[in-house]
Amino acid sequence: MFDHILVRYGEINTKGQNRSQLEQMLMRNVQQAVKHWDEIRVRRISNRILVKLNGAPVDAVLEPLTRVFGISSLSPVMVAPLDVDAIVDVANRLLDRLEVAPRTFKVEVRRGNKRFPLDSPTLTRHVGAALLASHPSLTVDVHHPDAIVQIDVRDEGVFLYAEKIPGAAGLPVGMSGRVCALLSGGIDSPVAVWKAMKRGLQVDLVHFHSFPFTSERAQRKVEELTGTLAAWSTDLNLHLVSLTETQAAIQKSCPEELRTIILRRMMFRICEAMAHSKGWLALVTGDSLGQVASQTLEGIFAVDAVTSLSVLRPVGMEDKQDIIDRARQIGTFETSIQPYDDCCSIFAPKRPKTHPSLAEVVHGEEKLDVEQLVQTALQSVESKKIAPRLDALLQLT
Amino acid sequence: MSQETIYLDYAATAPLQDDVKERVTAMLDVFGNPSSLHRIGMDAEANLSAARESVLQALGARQGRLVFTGGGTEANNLAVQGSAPHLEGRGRHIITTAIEHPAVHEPLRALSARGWEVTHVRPDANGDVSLADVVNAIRQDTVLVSMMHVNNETGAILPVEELSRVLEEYPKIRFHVDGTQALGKIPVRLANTSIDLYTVSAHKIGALKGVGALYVRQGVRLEPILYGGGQEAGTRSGTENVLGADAFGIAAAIAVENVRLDKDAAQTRQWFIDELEHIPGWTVRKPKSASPYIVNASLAGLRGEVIVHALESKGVFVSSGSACSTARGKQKRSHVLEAMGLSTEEIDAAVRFSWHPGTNKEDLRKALVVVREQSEWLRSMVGA
Repeated sequence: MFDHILVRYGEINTKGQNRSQLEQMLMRNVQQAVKHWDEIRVRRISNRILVKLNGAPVDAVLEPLTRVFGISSLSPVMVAPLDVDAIVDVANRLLDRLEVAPRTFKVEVRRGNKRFPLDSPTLTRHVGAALLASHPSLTVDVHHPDAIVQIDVRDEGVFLYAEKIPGAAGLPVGMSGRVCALLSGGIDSPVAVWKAMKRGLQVDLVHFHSFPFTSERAQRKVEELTGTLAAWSTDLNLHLVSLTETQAAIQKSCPEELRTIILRRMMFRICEAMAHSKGWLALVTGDSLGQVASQTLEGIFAVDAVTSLSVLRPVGMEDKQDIIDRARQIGTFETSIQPYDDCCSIFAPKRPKTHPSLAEVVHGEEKLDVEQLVQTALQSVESKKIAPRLDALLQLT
Repeated sequence: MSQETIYLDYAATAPLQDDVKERVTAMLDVFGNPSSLHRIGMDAEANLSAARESVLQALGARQGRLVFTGGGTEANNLAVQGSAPHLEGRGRHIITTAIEHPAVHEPLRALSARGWEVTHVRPDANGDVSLADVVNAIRQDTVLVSMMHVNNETGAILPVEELSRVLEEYPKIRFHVDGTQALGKIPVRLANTSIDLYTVSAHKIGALKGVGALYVRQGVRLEPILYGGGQEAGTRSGTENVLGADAFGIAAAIAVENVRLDKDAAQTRQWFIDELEHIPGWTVRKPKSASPYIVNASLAGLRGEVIVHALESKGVFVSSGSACSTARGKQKRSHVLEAMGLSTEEIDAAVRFSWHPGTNKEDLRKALVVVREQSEWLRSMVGA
């Protein structure tokens, strides 16, 4: 029976000044992740966070915690009273609970509680000998053991743990500020959002649709993707924006081969118009260099020219296969590849210009009433809060 | 959604009729298993028999039996797959049309993979299938003809009654008709025909989904496709869906009566077509012989699905292509319109308006106003 989960955080430790603020942020995110269990208590203990289970099921609780950015590793902890026999007894149980039975082990003792009668080397030897006696197949290996039984003698009791589960690493979501990400429903943009969150960004999502030229199924798909991404953070804001009028105007008055680039410029302008009131400090896109026509350096330059916001492209330098692998790991891939009738294609140019100059593009959109189109799009904004989609929640006991 | 809803997708499915809704609610307490020997079972059996009679009557059948199934698809599969073992001794050639529903196409394809030969008779450019073409396809070894009564996409009425008279001369040939889109839309009188098997579906006439039936002419033997407890005289095992069958029986009686009363149906359809053709960009499919409740048309330069969404945003619900073939995202091109020889652009731009005897002309008029407005808007969007 595990009593706690010990949460370690790595990268935060290197930040001097804001450390306490960051720790608070991580605390809050950890609390968010386990909020479904009323019995759980979260507190800080010297450079660690301790999640007191109070009976909550350890595996179910670990699941959301492995998706909290900023955590370097997690260990389920058993607590023994300050008594040698009790420590041996719990150490035995801990070994027996390991998923893969170790062949070699070692014991490591940290004695923060100096009033405890045995010193560290003595306790190490004592527990080691007892474990060898009860597990005939085990041998000690102090250099490369299969399992390390950690014994932490504290004032209020003894913590024992043998597992170190890797955390999601990165930085706590929220510590790097708030940005807006353009979420298309494809494979790349959810991965870009995930990477942005991993670096501590609080991400609001914007999805452009052109109903009735795109179907409501596309919208549902984006909501599903947002839910999956929210499982790595917390509730996410999703803003649905209609681009129908804009597309029609571009269709009417811009050269065909520049339509895609001009449409992207309009998207950025609309995001920028929303940025101030939403507190966005940058834009995040799923562009990946060279993937499609608008994702050449010239294309990127022509699009970025309309905004004063920084444009972050987390998957900009990644190979498609690597993006796909990541999408599978995050859980967005299956949703992203759901096909739906994407009727946008009727607006897509047959041969988009891959290396447009900025002057060409500016000239190409001369006839466009940019101001008015941005206003129309802003009036169409529909905002939703999307809660995490946790398949794990269904298994709560 | 304060706007009015005008549902014009009856060929896809129909809402529950009010009388059926009441009846289903009242019937929820009839829970018996018709196979049980006690009174509770017998009460359920009595309901089932009454429903069977009611559907047979709606089909204008004087003899023969009715096998309840889990829908029209199953009835079609039972007709095709269940006939094959009884026919193959006499020949292995089947005639069908190029415009059948997949629920007939696919079981036939499975047979052709097992060595049967299937001839697909093509329609003309209007969607009509000619009697002569079907008769000309008959060979020495033809043992089955499977043909729909009313096409679900164009509304074309196929010459099943005329063909059944011709087939009286060919006692070796079994004749299956998929009447899914006919019941409740045009008069059906099986007693005047030599049709051996006739498929119907409950949800198309305002009863429940997952319920269908196959009419089986007297003396026609079928191999089951579901084996088990031997219900439905051994043809379709599984405890009968008493509630679904009962609702079907009620709906069938009402549907037939409504067809009889809707005297202006053909006129209304003609008016609808004329109006639609007056809206710039529209072309309409006009089979010579057609159900008065289905109109298939294209808006040049647009995709069917876009038209569907544009109309639904104003409360008018239609479908693009064939409702059943909008597989998730993979828009299969309508095989019906392809067989008629339409251009790809025209096929992709096709939508289907379908209604029923209870639809009033005022709603159709309102729908046409929306169609006109939205068509203009859509066309301006794509620069048509």
